[in-house]
Amino acid sequence: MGPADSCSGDDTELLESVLGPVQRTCYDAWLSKCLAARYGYFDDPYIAQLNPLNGALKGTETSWSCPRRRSGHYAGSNTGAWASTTSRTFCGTRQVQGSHLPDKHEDTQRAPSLARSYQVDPVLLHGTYARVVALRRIVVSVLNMFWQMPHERSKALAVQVLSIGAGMDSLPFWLLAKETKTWTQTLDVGRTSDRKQEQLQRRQLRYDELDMEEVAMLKTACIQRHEALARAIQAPGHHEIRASSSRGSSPDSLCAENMANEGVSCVSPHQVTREARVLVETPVYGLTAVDLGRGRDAINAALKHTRRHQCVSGGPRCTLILLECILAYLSPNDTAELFEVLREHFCDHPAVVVCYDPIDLSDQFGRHMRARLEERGAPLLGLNCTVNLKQAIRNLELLFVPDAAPHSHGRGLDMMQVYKRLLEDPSERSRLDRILVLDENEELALLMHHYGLIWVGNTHVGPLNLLGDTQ
Amino acid sequence: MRDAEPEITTRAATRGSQSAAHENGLVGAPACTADQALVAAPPQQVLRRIVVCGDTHGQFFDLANIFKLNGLPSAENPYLFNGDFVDRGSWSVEVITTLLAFLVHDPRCMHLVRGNHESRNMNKIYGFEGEVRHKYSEHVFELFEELFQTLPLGYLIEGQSKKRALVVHGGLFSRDGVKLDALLRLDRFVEPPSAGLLSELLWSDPQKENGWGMSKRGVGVSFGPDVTKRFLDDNQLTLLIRSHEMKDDGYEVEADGRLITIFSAPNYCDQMGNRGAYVRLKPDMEPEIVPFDAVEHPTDVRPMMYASVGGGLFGLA
Repeated sequence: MGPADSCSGDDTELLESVLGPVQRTCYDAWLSKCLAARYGYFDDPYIAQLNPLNGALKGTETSWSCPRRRSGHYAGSNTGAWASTTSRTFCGTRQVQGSHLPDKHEDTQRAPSLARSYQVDPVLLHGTYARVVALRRIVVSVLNMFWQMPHERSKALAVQVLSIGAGMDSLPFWLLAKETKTWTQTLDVGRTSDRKQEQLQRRQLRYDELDMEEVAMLKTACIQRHEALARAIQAPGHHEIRASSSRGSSPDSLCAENMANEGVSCVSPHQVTREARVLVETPVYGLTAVDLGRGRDAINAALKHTRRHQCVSGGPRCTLILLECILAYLSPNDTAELFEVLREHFCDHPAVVVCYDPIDLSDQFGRHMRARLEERGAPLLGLNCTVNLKQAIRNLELLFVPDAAPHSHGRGLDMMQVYKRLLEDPSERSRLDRILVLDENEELALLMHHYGLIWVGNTHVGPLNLLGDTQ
Repeated sequence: MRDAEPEITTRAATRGSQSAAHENGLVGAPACTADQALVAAPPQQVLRRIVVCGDTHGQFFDLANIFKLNGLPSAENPYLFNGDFVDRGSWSVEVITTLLAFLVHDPRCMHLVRGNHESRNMNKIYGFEGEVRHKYSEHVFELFEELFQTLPLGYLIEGQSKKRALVVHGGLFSRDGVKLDALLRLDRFVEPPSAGLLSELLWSDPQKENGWGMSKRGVGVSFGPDVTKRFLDDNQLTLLIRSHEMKDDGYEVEADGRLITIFSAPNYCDQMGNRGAYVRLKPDMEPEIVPFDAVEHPTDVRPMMYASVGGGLFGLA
């Protein structure tokens, strides 16, 4: 006895054939973020294009075309405008071979659940809002802190964001596009002082993502299909995608052969090593497939590759490591191994690790949640799942900085505290209220107290007060 | 002798309740068509006692337990359900049709007040629409929405010594000086607006501090015990009974005993671990509050099953 429209059943079946149960949580995360963005809780021009189902479906070219066009409603004959090299769909948006469809078409074709936009749990929307907005703020704060750190002027400071188990996250696109925009705006201003220009010139940001091969492949497929995504990560030759559409060029211009043709020096995306495989590579972004469960060698190999860029420049480095709902699914052993590798790679320069995970699940609510996830085949194994926030912070603090005194390097908040912080701004509060009324707060509070946002800086960083005062 | 038998009278605080009680205190129905009479203008009644329940939110098995604990509704054992019968719990259809069945069977045994969840906007989000569409059809959903608009916004219960209680779902208002008359004149055949008396009736919450505060819900207002007392005194009322908020014990008494929150959905959403409660009123108008625990229900049906997108979405994975 389940909901009448088995939209979720369809989606699940499709994903089940491609992804394992833990990997499938990337769909849940994506869906909640996509919906929250659609409702206007935050701005995200990229998330809708990262639908893992798009990647999972292997159709012919025509199956991607505008459905109205297929069914012949497309008025092709009477005007010269239709005869241009770029074709237009009935709905008026430019269609490029292999590129994305307007969202609403995509929705009704690929994710029927999105079309029924009235059936959404507002608690999840608010929770997702807090998660996305808080993480964005933390990332921006940490990066700003890195850029302001004193370093040798003559050498470029290489700042890296490393997202492990990134799933269908849109953060890299959002962040890199923002960086490009900031830089362009500064240029536009015209008379910038030489020093500021120099500072910005030195400001390099690289975003690397690691994930399981199956998930990374889905993400790669999305990047290949959507020009906006490719543009955000400065995929070389994306202009060529647009201009050459009429010539029917392949949309796969991101694969190594094409990139090599465009003159970008990079490693061929085939097996870097046995354990890690680069799927996407641009001057500012990399996506590497690695099996996190295969132990330190695999992670080591993947990390070695992502460091390649920085080693080349030889200058100072800073790294922000993101683990968004990853440690929850890793056993304590796997977690310890992962952090061992992270320490090895990042102990010699400023590094911050930021983790978002369920915590404190030893009560009735927690037992219920853990049982549900176990039924789905994605049990919560993480060492922080059943401990309180303070202990969770301490655990991560010791993993990243083994000889740390308590609270010397680790900080954190539970998500209800985060949510309240975000809503301290009354204009934000009323903005949220206007979107969808949250009937009452008890359910939200119950859920959010069981999620924690924790960050630990290593010895080159020290304690960080992000999102205001923290415990 | 009639005078020796203590009585309480109920009257729906709604436009259209034009009936006058006969001298012997029996029910008088207004002159209109039969089906309209049942809901649009519930008869003024004289009763020995009445039980007031709060939110039930689709928790059918807990509703059945209330009837088990306190007896099935009848003319001698009438109930008043103070709104929020649907949404969240996934047996909303069963709850509302059970209550309606009793109402149709004998209007003297069942009284319904409109809650903030008896509205289209809420039903779209919190599961009722999904559930009705699954079990019946879109057309039936439209019928429910039409029905919800006819529900009274409140009830007046009067007992001995002119003691009167007002029963509304949410609470009171963002200003002083609101008279019962103004509430009687409200047009209730609407989707609740986002501001104004009607929305405040359905959405407001009491607060501990005197005066007013911003509602935590984004609609309605928070009103203090002083506001409560002024309103009650202004309108010759002894007591305000309202629901709308979950309470750990199923109830809370505030404003020096002049405000009772009553909530009848125990272990709310299968998560909160709270008790439910109901209020027994006799002609002496001393409220007797009875808490009760949740009972088991089939586990394959979880809360908001017809609402959550994606089916498997649980928490913030």
